Amino acid sequence: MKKVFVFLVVGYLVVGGILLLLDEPSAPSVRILSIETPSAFLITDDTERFAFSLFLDDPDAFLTVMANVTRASIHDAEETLALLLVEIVRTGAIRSDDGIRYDEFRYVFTTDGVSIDVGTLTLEDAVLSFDYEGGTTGDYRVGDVDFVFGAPGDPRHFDFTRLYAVYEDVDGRDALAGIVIGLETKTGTPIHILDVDLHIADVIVSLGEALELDELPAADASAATLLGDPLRTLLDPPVGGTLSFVTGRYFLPVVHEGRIRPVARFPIDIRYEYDGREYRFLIDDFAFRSAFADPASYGETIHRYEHLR
Amino acid sequence: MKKGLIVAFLSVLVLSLSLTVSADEYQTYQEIVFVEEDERLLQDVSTEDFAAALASLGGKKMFGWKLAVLTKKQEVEFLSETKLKIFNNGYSTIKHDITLSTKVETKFQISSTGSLGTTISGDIKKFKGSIDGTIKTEIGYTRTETASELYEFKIIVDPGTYVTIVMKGRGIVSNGVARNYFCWIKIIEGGWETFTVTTEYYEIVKERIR
Repeated sequence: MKKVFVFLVVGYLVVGGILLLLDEPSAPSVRILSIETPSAFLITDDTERFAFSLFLDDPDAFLTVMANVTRASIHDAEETLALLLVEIVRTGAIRSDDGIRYDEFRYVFTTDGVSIDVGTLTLEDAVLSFDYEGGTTGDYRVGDVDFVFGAPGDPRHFDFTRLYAVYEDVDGRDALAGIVIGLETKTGTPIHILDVDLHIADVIVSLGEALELDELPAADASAATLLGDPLRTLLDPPVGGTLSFVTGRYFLPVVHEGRIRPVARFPIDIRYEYDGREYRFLIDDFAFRSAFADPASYGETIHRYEHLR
Repeated sequence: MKKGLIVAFLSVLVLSLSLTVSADEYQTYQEIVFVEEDERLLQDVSTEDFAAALASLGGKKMFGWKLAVLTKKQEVEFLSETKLKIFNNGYSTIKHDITLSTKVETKFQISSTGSLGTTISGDIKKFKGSIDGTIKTEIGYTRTETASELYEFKIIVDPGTYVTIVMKGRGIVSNGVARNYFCWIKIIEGGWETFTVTTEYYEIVKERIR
């Protein structure tokens, strides 16, 4: 009888111990990563949606629940834009160097009623800010952002007939080397492109090197080969100039200032002259390439944050 | 008598399994070209070469899988299906709002032939049975856990014009054959193939409606 009693007590202790171990309290904080990557969005009206990514080590954290966010904005040292959070979408996951899995959440916004006819709001080293239920706040650095306000280009003077980006291999990484664009005037009168802006920080169209194409190049062609200059690199300084056309297909080379940036989606802002007057033709931000799974491998800065649960 | 029943049962099992054929999205791509000329997709392997690959698996074994690799981690370039077409048959310019999706690297696809099957667990497609792990070990596969994202794109389309958005890309292909034995009896036999999309490129084309 005594043996049975001892056996039962030991059994309870063992089972209790195992249960306690299994019921280990979760970590007291949630870890968050933001990766600084340059981005640009064409905002056609106050319903236009755009998104920024945050990476969380807990997919059920309070930051992933819409109702817990009471206010959102994005700002730099000088300007602030109020945002309306419309959706939080889990789009994937990454694994950090230390082996921790971080789920990627895309925070989808509109400009919360702010609508500007024409203009660009440039935020340098932008910070995404949230106010949460309970009075806590969160600030996350997301990199340089351009909000380009305007309508997609009205093809009254010209239109584009073909559009894709060329990415060349630079040390095993895909680097934006240029844009291939087919252009066609409506009247047969020459149009002069004065400037092409992708609105991505440090990524500049070298319009002076624009090349008319007989054949369309592959999406992974190299700019040096296309331009016939084996010494040319994507880090060369841009060459200024204009491009005049009636109808044709062109390669618009791109250079990166300082270092290669992982650029997949961007608008195209074309300033041109027709019949002695200046106009603007905007192409909505388009994903020319699948998103970069690991922008940090391009040297983009990772910021680490921690919030109490 | 008992042995005969077992053999009959296993024969029925093999027959029913051999009807399983599985395909995946990449098999709808308009064009897939290997960077190395001699490599082929499983569907382009001749009957003779397929039989030779099966023969290379050697003699029977008591239990489990035998596997041979025909193509190992070979780079391909592909032209996918047209993702979208917008026609403006009217007489005035239209502004069109398009919802597009962009995949995040990397997207893993698989397919099989013969009685070798595939299954879906959650959003992950796998080969049926323990062969899944064997194949992934053999080709050195690591899965990047990523998914797709939706976004909006606005475009102006002139009358008498249509817009298409096409996808091109690069990927990695591995394929081979496999056979499974139970008590020295061949239970499953077929081809397997993995297709990992590493990068997708998107292109807009505007053309006149003829």
